[in-house]
Amino acid sequence: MPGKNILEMRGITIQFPGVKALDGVDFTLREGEIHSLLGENGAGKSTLIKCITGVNKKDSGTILLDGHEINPSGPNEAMSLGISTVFQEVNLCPNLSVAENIFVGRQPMKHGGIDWNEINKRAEELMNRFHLDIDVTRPLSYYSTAIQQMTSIARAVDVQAKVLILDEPTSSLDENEVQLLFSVMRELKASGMGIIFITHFLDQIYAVSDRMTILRNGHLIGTYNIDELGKVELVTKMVGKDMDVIFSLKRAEVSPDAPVMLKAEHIGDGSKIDDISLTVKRGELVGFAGLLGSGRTETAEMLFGAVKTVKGDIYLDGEKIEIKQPFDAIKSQLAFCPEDRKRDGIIGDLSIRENIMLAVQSRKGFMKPMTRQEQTELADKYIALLGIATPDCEKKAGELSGGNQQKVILARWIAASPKVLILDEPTRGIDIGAKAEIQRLMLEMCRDGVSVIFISSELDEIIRCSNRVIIMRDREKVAEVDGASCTQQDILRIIAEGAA
Amino acid sequence: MAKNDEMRPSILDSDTFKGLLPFIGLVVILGVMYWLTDGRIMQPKRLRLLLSQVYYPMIVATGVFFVMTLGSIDFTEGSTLGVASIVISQLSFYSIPLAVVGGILTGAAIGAVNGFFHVRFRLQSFIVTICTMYLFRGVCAYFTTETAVPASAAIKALDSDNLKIGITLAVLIVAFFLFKFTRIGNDVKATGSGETAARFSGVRTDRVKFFAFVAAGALTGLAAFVNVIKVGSITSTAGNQLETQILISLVLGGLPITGGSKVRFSNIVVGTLMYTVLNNGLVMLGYDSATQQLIKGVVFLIFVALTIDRKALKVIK
Amino acid sequence: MTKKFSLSGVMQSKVTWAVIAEALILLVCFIIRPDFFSISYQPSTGMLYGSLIDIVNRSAEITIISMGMTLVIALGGTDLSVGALVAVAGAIALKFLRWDVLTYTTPGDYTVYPYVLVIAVPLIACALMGLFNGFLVAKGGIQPIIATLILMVCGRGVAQILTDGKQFTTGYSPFRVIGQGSFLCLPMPIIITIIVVAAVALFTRKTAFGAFVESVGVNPSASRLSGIKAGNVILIVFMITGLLSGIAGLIYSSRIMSNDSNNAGLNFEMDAILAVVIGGTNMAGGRFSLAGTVIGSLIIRTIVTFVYYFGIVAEATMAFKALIIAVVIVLQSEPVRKYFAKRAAMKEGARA
Repeated sequence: MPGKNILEMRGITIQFPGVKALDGVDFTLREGEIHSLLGENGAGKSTLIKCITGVNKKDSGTILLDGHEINPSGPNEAMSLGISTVFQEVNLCPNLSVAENIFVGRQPMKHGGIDWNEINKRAEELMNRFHLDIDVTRPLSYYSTAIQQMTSIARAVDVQAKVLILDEPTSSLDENEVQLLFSVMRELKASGMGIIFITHFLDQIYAVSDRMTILRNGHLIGTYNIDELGKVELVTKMVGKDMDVIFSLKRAEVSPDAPVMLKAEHIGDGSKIDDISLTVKRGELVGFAGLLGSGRTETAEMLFGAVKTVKGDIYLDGEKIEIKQPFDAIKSQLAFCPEDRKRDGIIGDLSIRENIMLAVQSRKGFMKPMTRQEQTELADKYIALLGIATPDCEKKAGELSGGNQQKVILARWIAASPKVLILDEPTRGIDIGAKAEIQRLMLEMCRDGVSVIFISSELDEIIRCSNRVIIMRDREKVAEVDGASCTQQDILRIIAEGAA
Repeated sequence: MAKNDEMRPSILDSDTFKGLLPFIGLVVILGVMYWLTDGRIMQPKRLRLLLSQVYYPMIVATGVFFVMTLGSIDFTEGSTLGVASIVISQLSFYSIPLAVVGGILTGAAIGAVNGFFHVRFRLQSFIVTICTMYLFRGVCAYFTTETAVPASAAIKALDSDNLKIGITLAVLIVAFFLFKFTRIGNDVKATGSGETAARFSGVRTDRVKFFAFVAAGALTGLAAFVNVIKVGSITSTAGNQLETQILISLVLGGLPITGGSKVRFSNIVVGTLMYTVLNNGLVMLGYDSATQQLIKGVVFLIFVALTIDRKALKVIK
Repeated sequence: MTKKFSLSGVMQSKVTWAVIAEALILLVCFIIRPDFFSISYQPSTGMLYGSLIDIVNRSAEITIISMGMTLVIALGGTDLSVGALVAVAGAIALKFLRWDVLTYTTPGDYTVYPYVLVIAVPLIACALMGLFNGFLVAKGGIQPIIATLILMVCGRGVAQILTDGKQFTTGYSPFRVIGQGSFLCLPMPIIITIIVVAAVALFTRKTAFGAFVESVGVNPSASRLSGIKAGNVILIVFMITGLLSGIAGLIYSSRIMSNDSNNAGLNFEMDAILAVVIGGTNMAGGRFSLAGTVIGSLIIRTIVTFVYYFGIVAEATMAFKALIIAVVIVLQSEPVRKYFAKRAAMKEGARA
């Protein structure tokens, strides 16, 4: 039995300079439901959320909470009205303790002072509710991204909200943690809370939500019950055209006698990874599967010199190479798209042109500069090749959408004509259109003879693209399976139980 | 990226050890000075002299502590002290309480100017306070270049250790309470460790920042009172290089320059004590000022190398 | 590709504001005293004279230092030690000119050690001290403000120890040329400034070094993963700044033909930082503008010259300077620029 509407938005329009971010959008949230908000990047999901929380001012339309019109001036006021939000972009204060983070801005008081015992006790209780048994007095930065994410959710949940907004809460969680989050979401839903859930993972939408609302280019496409719409229809509605492309991707052919391009023997970094060996053939795409923290990223970082390799040998094209720092790897024509795009990838304040030419230039050293014209030609070439949506190559890279930023980073590496391309979660947090595009590019590179290492948390991607899948577990390589013949179930079983 | 997780820090890197380092440093410096001066530094007369040099920097450092917890910086202490001292000495001819209030208000007003421009125009505190430093140094120079500004005899008569200790302790206790047991301390720390996050969590960051600068100014004004009691007249060198001294003291005390939650209130006390002991000891040992500077620099270097929180280049807000 | 001229874009640029500010200050000077702009030729010295020449001449030290400071700030750092290095350079130069004052008791037109050492040793020493700063930052992981505070504190001590706390004077004429000589009718410091500015501009913009500095300034981690040796970039930048402080120190001490460990380069770090910021380089690091910095340095000097020229009380110079700089900086602040850009955009919209 559907509950009554707690949040109603009617005819919301928000005008940004030169573009209508939202155009007459209606949205309702019922009591005790999980409502997914869907759309590609730039469709207006975040804008809608920011409108509810008062970060963006609406130009017209009304928001009713429990039948009363509200106009929150910012997240604080929204919170006091009972709308609690976990923002995707805003992190917590990494240096404060977990408990302090949960209670910052609303510390419980006793005798005119802050009641630290109460804070720590309540924080512990809250984290226990998430089945996390951690020391809440430790600084947040001590813990993994997943726990940090949980902390911000715990914070949002604790304010006794009527409406909880979760903007991409699962993008940095592994499968177990996602399940944990879902069980908490279901509990909250049972207690009558209305939850707005934004994610790029289609499976998660079907796993947990009751209804979904689809936006495209600032317009409302429709609101549907979860069983009304299948995946393919959903994607079609989101993208606005048939998304057969993604299902028509074919993995590259590698002949059995293709030469080995990259070989690592017993490499270890002295702390996290002890002993890993692997080979990648010319034109082969090797997928790395495994949970977050299973050693996928660490292995990739070692191969690229981002983390020092203290033992073992790396061979490229049969020749032993020394990689002490990323510069050495680039010299040897290795390339690496890091997992954390914002922190390690994009150089936001510089133009697209400069971002693209960076790797080529750093390999040459600064004394052999490329002329401005060479840079522009290079940038324009890859903007066209990768379909980066921008008026020109002088736009700041930081102003692009996530998917386009990822393409810029890819362009940086493709321009450096690598022999081995390592991609760590290149499709995370970007919309389906861009995802398909990036996978297509990857496979094209393979056909051109580039060897690709592809790390992803999304198994269907891995299976679709990989010739071979290396499965990591507890910082060890536990299995290697053939990409064409294995199934998601096989891989999941190995991740869960180890190799048979 | 899971780079920080589960790394087993060595004992030298652990937070507890780093928190203790300033204390160890203070003990070591005291010990070395005791040894080098054959214990003379601990003679009651010497100790009193040493303490008399601690009061006003410690009061100033308490205010600046809040600013630096924000991850900001304040270069105006010296000039504020100068201007406030002039106000105090002039008002002291009318009434002592008026002089105290006047000094504090002068300091608070300068702090408010800093805070206003920092917050309202989103200018880095670094730049704002360099400008105001020049401005008020100029004001100070204008009044003091010809002749020193004298204070009334009444205010000089107040000079007693008890009063100065009383004021210093009162400041420390009130500030400690504010920092530890009210929202203020937490809000300042939260703003310092992540401004956007703090704002989204309901901290009114602009107010917090403004408050911190006003507090720093007001306390410097109060310190000016203690200073006037001690010196009796204001010369053009009043408060010269005070800002550098405070900055060094707080860093010696273990305060991270990036602010945030790793600050400890003890940084103020330990830092100013350490600086003063070092300073006094070097004077007692009869080094000329050049050698003193050199030794201070080396000690500072050693300390920073041992204690500093190694993060990527981070900007002072 | 031609970029469309947009009024709102220009109004958003900090350099625009710096140029407007400088023009306004000069305009005020012109209104009060039209002869402010007069330039005369003095046949006896073969030099041009006038307030404008004087402004450029006297701004030499700050302009030179702030070329390095621009790069440091573009990296997201600051260098507080430049003023102390100015004192060190002067001390070393005078030490080599006079060496043993007990033997060479009266200053005169001579140098004890070869002139080449008088010039080279201070520059090398300052470059090494800059390298020391860079080492602490790049390899020691110490924040630049603290790393350079060390030399700021003990640099002047070093200078005093080098000269036994004495102030030497000299009359050696080749040394005088650096600060008081002329070339092509222009004071030598102007010539040196032009050479330094050109050299730094060529080095940063004609190689990819400038792009690397900006890249490291915006995102050190991503830059490293893109193959930039961030540590080396930092080392080079601090070394350049040290070297430039040395050049400024030689000019300064040549002007007074003496060394002054206490007052040489006093507050130069603050002036240099202000010049860079007025010039439009953000203290958060990233994009930098050398041309802007030159204008920033000129603005600071114009104000001071203005104050001297119009006989405003000398003691108030600093306050006056601070006031005008504050106005410029406020005009350049983000909220104000946004306000003007918005108005400009509205006007453009109305016209279209």
